[in-house]
Amino acid sequence: MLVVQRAKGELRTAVLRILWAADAPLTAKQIRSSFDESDAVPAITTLLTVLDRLGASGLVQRGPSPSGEAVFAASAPESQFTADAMISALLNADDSSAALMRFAGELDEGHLEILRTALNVRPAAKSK
Amino acid sequence: MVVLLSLLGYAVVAALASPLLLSRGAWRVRYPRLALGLWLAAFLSSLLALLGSLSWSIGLAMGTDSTRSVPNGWLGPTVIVVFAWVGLAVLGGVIALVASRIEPIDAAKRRANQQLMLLEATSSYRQVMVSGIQVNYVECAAPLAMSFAGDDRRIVVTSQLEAELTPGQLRSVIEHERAHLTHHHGLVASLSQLNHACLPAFLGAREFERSAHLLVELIADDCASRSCGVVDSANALVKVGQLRGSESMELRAARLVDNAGRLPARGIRRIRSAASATQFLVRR
Repeated sequence: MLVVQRAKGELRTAVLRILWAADAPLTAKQIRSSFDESDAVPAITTLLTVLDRLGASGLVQRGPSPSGEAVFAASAPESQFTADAMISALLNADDSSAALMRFAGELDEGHLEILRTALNVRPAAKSK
Repeated sequence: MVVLLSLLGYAVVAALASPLLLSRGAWRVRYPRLALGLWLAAFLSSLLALLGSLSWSIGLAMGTDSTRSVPNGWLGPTVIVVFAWVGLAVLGGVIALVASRIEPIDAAKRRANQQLMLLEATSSYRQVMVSGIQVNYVECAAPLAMSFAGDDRRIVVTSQLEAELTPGQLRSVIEHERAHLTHHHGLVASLSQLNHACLPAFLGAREFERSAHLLVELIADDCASRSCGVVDSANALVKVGQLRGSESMELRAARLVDNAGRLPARGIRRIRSAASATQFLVRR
């Protein structure tokens, strides 16, 4: 039976959206204060861990502010990314098969022949 | 010496025989989990046999007393010492080769994770946990579902797929992707890919990678079918196959129904139920 719980990746998405919406780089405290108070506001240490991970992935840049406190900014604006372009990049990356399994991942002609033979099915006629 | 030769002989026979035995016949389509298990057993046992023969030869070489005259002559001990040194050199070369081949696979994984994070941040409209695994729904016009393996494992489902499938069919797609993650299919794919990258000219390495690609999909189909029933699982495959114009999805659906039909009584009821509920485009 499937058990539905609260998703844990929401925080990463929320942080990126806050950084995209900001006009200037933000400190961790400013990011924390941007969370809607009706939602669970993360602890500052949790937020710094998420920012570290986003930084390691190249999505967030960290820099010093005049006050010496670290500030964070998105590496690129949100407008640079579209869902279709990212899906297309994911699907067309030949070398990502070990990391990414796709439900509609295509099997090659050799695999199809194995399945047809096992199921005693004739090849589909190709449309002209 | 006998142990050394036996280990070497086993490694060579397993490496040469596995592609001949495991890439033939329809049985692997019916029993994909067994087929993948045999592939992994052949691969890992060959590797262990090679490492074992090297360790054994090193042990023998270290035990050889060069100051004492050997009654059976000098040839045996010399061969063992030379084998041990050559084996160590080859092992060093293999470690360097694996390190160089693993880097592009890791880089591809990092790129895919980054693109998924961006996709989720720009387009996700719902995030839920399903049996311990995060499922993110994203706005996208393509009917897709995918799973990302690793520390940050998760499943991504597009809005178009959610719109096209019934809740039962969608659950079977999620169970399919969940099976990839819980059965560590990403690790199997990485292992077979790395093996092929290190030994590109070797038939066994090529066949292992090709077979792994097919078998993990069939295993995940079977897991989804067991969790959600053959009707929803086969229908989900047929529907996505029609949307994407993919013959392979229809064949995978036909296989699920065919497997259900092999079960006595209960299976026959399931296949009748499946046949009445699906529109198979199988050309027999």
